[in-house]
Amino acid sequence: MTECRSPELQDLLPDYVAESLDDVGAARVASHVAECEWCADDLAVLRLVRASRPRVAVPDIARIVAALPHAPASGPRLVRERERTSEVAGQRVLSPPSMHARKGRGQVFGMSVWRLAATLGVVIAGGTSLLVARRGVTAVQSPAASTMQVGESASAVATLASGAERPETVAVAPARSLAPDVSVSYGDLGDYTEAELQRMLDRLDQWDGATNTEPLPGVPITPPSGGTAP
Amino acid sequence: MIDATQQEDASVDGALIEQWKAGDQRAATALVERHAEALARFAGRLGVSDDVDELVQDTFIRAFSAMDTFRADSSLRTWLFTIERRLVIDRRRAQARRGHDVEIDDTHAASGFDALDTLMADEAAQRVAGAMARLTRMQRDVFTLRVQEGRSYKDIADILGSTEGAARVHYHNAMRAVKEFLHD
Repeated sequence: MTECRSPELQDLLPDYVAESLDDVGAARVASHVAECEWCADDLAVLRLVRASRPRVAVPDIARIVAALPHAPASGPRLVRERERTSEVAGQRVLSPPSMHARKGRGQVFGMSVWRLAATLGVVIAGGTSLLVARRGVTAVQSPAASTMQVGESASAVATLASGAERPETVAVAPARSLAPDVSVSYGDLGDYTEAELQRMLDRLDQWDGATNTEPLPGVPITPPSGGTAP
Repeated sequence: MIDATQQEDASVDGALIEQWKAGDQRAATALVERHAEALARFAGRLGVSDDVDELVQDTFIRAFSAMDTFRADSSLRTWLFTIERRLVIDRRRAQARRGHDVEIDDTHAASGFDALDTLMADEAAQRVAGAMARLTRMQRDVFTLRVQEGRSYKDIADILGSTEGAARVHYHNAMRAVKEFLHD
């Protein structure tokens, strides 16, 4: 007996015995078996094996059905369970954490980041301000002071806080040069002697620098190309 | 070639599942009636002789509890067989942990099929049982699923956690062994 040379048809023999092939398939297998001695022998064995299927008692259908979970549409209990767990082929698997829980962790993490950033911002800004304030005691490079130095080109006393109840004065050291290291002292009029105050007033009287009420021409103080002020 | 019977079964099962999901509990009864006997028979082939009813019931409970995960790329019966087989493996492992001497390895020669001898009456059936007992567990599972249950190689691979190619090889090796035994 030679082996079958049509393995495709040989593979269909169990389906042929189970009568699960369509008409075309069944006809092809029947035609093949009529010519193939090997497959005819296989077919006889398969029929014997299939006829030997063990007969078992049919399980209690009513008892099984009574134990089944209710359909989703009629059983809210099952729906709630599915939100938490899923069973895949008999294996109970915990569902992933809910989106709410994940969002909560994200919010906590986000708040921490923002708090840290805000704290760093306050520290940096506060530290910079403190550093500037400390340096400003000895050297101030405010635009107003620079303007006064250039405009007066001499020692002068100017009242900056016009309208203030207790006006502050800025004493500008004699400008031997336009170097920025001008010492500035914040003092009170009471710190000066009467003679010193009188001298200051005399100098002011001699100073021909009354404030011009006319608006300044529209010439920029600092040219766009840079350089020194006129 | 189209497996007409399995396609028709899949269509009927699909319709019943949809009815059950819509709240029709009678559809559940119909599904149990269609597959309970096959599950009991498959349990016998898996070597289960005690508490077959309980095993079949547990299989249906697991299946209906996870019906949303069922995919139509395999038949419902194939899926039920897969669940039942895993339940049997879980039980055997549990028994092994309790110290019972049970067989878990699929490649090991099995003696569970001997329980079926009592179910076979005539001499031919006894000879078939003798031939089947000589097969390895995997060969026997593949052979019975293919011949007695009419499952495709793809279904068998899904049920047994194997591949179609491996299932085909196991089938032909089993077929050759059974023929040799019966012709001796």
